[in-house]
Amino acid sequence: MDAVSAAPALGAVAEERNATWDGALVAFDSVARSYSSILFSRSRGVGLLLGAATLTSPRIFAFGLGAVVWANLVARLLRLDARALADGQFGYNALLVGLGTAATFTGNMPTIPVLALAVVGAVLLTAAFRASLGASGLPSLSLPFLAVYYLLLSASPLTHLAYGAYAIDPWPGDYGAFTSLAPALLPEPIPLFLRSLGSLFFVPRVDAGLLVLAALVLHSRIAALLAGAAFGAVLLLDQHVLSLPEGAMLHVLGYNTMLTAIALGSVWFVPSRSALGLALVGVLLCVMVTVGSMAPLARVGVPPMILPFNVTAILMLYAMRQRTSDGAPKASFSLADSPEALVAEHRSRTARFFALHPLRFRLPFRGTWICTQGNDGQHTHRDAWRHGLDFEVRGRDGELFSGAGAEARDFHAYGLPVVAAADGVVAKVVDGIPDNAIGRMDLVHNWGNVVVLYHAPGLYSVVAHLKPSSIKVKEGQSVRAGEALAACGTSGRSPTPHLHFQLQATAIVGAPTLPVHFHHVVVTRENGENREAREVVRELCPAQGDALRAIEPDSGIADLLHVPLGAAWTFESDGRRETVRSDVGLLGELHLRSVERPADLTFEEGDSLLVVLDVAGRRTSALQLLCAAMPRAPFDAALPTWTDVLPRQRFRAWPLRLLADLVALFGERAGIEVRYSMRREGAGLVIVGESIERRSRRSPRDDHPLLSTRLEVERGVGPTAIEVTYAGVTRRATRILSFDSSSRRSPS
Amino acid sequence: MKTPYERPAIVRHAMGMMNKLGRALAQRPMTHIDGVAIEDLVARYGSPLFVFSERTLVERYRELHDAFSRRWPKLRIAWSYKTNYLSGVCKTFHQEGAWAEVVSPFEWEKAVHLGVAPDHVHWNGPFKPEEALERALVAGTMVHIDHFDELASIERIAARRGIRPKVAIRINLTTDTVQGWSRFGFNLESGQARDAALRIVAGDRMELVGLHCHLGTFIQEADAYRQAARKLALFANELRATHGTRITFIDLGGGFASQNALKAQYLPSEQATPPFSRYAEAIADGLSAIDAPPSELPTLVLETGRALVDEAGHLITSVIANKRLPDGRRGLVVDAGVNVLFTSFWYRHDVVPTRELRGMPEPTVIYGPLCMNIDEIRETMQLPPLSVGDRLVLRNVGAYNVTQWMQFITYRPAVVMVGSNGKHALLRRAEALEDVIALEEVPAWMP
Ligand SMILES: Cc1ncc(COP(=O)(O)O)c(C=O)c1O
Repeated sequence: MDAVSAAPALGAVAEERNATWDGALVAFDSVARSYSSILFSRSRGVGLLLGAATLTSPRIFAFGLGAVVWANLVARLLRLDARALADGQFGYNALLVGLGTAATFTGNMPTIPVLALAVVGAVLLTAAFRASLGASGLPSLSLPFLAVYYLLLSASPLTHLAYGAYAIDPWPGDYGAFTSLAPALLPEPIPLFLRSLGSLFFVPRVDAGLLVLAALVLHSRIAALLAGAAFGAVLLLDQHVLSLPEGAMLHVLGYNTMLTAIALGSVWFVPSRSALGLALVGVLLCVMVTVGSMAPLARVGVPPMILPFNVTAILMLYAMRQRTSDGAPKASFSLADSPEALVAEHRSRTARFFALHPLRFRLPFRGTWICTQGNDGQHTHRDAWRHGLDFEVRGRDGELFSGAGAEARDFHAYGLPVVAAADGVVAKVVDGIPDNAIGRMDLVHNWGNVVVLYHAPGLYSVVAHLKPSSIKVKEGQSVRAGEALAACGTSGRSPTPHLHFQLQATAIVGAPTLPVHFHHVVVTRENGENREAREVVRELCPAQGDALRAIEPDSGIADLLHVPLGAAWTFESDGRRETVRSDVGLLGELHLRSVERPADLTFEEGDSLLVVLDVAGRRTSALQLLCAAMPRAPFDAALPTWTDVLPRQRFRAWPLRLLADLVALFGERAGIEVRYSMRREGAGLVIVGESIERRSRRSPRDDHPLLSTRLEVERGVGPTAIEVTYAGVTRRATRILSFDSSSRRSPS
Repeated sequence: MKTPYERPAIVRHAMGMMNKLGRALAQRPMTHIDGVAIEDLVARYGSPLFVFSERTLVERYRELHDAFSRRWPKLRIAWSYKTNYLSGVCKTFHQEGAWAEVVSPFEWEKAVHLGVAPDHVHWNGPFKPEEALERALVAGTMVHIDHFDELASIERIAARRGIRPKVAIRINLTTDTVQGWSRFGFNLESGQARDAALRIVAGDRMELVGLHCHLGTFIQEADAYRQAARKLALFANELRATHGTRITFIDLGGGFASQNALKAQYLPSEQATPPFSRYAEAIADGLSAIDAPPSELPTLVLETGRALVDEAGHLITSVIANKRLPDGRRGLVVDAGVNVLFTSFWYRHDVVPTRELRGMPEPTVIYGPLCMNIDEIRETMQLPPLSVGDRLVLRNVGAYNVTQWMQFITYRPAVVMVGSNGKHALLRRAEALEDVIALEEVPAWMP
């Protein structure tokens, strides 16, 4: 058999091996994540560290691991949601049941068969809780564990389960040699803090606590900080407000409040000062719940365990969901891998897509106009109308009119089309008011001829002073953004032809104004030597004197940057191959997904630009490079420049990242602002980016941008080469065209 | 200072000739072009001399762009190479965002050589040699099909190369005021254009995306464009309805009038030539018959040539001799003839002195240096007496001259550009003997 024919056979074997390997990896992940889920993490490393923490008590470890493996098996046999299973969602409650059983009951018989049954119960309850609570968007946390565990406790007299030392006195004085030495080495209250962390996993030992702390720090410095703050608060309360019985109580308060703080301050809300405040309120409430539930629970014969955290956190989350506006703290909007990632994602979203209103407005005209009166303008834009905007047109000589300027017709703006600023429905039309002679005003009909469009509840746009009989739309008619409505005129309070635009909350002509932002505005500036510099501004409220236009899409550029559905592009970077494929998501959103690595880029391709909404997953994926090199691209024929913001964290080496995370809570520098430009090169297009921030501010010799990018796109082929340089280190991804010849488009 | 000598002459007094609001205004001397002294330019580059103003090129381009982009959401200007394909002129427009409009393999090669992406080129014209056509189609050039034989040849190329090119068809049509050039493209009214579209759709070897119509040149009636645009828009609607074809661009060619004046023209051009905004209003109005949501409106393509470049071009020429013609008119011999100012056959170019002229204006004819009777670059105009060595500036000569000029009897002069930055530089050096003989061979059998 020659080498050529052998190759496919070998490939098939390799593929088979890969499949088994993948299966094993999924199984391993679902176990590791059962551990890490307890700290709201999805990381394998965190899971391993937590597993190691339980190993400080071998019996507890064995019961815990056994419970997880059994639970995952059961979930699989029952064909429960495979994705949740792989994420450890069915394992972590079972893990707690296993750990708790080992810590509570002695002997192996009949403890093990009872545990096996309890685990099945935990899995079923998890599925049930996930469905019922999940329907109202709430997490089930460790409620399934509590239900099963309390049941075990109450049933124990009838099941011949024998209580161990832990159940009678969960925190006996002697923890073995290490723990008894520890207080000498570590000043209180650190051992107390560590034991409290350890008792989350039913091993109230300092060494176990240290491993849990390591896992927590590895997962998130923000979460670790919140845990520390929560514990500190409990100690303060203990010293100054409460009078708690010695021993156990502080541990229970410790882990309940720590989890409450982490959940509220960094998981369900974007970490920030306000989220920290919310977390502290949660801590106080959790202390009240714990202390208050002690006596009632004792009467039933069960310890509070992790119940106070479950109750407090879920109720607070539910209450916060009832807010009418999602401000500070901002509710979490994604399943980010860590609080740090969540902060970064939130920052990047606000920097890139900050939106005043739930929809994007374009400029209400075509071509370049000048803003001649901005917000709080000197003439009429005051008080209730302070957010009004006036626009006019300037000729090449800088004048607003040609000839004598004695007639409306002489003005460049007069008769130009006025268009819809966003999709909407015509709410009101006023016509029939004559244009004024130049210099005259009609103070009776202030707004002149008007079209009011409805866009969203409480959001209307108004174009006023229109030319009589030029209105092309009727009330009730729906219009699309950019559609011509009427012609610019000089009716109403208008001494010279101009367009007045405003947003308002009702359809009433003359209603008070709302603030206006336009999206993707091309701003033109004179650049000396008769050259004009154009920049696409992501979001802008025009100021007096600004020369503005909407993006004027060029089909040539749009074609070059078009991502055909089903395209499969193979890149090579750092000697590794990676294929990314385009597809449509459930909500109609567009994706580029990596076949080999967990990486997913979501994007939007409109009429006038392409925007990468986000990229998630492996930092080594070519998709990360693609996003850095082209986070958005306008299809404008004039090839304007534009800026975008990239999250700093995506480029840092990990030790620096860890450090930076700590300060992230208290306001870190914004992301890296990168200025992009585009040029045609041969049959293709090149997009280059340079961060505004320089690499070193100290030595001018080293005056390079901190980040620079380059993307080459070829006609009919898509991106062919990507290059991203951060702090002097360059990463490249190069297309291997021979690999995707089947998916190439025909030349267009 | 001594007053210059004026030859005595008896001239019939004509009323209104000195009307300072009329033609006489144009005779204010022109001493500088964009701040650079004409005498300095001549001293440096010789006479005659073509001078292009970069500022005017850019201003005209932006005026055109502004006028149309304020009225139609998608605009593309393709620089018509034949009008003036000097590299410096083309580059000025390409820098402003213009695509290229070419009509021959030579122009296509020149555009690509200048760095224009082949898929940013529109190709017109009745003769497209098959190899050149194949190269252009593969590279993504937008070909405007002129006749059925060309259509067949593209079908062959598409089959051979396994491509499905996007194409446009050129259409000729009539309007009330302008009888469009009917020898190019497919006729609309007779149904020929419909047949061509059907053939493209049925053949399924290419995708019909564009409609093109060039009415003619120096069209001063904006309304002709309104009608042409409307006819094309309605035709696009029809194609969409019958074949589901989505027309992504409508190309209205060139033809806007410049500030030049036709010989037969009665009104001065300031009054007869509409501003770009008038053409834009007419075309946007005509196109609004298109039945499509805003995001699917076709791109308006313009191939404006003359109106973009004419005003930027000046020809500086020097007086060689004065003559008195038998009919009493004065004759002026200058160093630039019809061989370099080809457009003087049809246009009454504006002539301006470079110094304040004294003396009584009288009917004067301006002749070139050729020993040919046709070498008259300006028919009779009122000019005061000039002396040998005086310069005259012929204005609005930027279009078609430096492409249609010929090397005949004299060498062709230099062409320079005055930059927006106040600098000046050569766009093309003056010809010399080597240039002319470089292409020649002497048969080997000759001694
Ligand atoms: C197809 C085509 N487009 C554009 C032009 C340029 O026309 P103009 O210089 O009159 O604007 C011409 C000139 O003949 C032409 O034939």
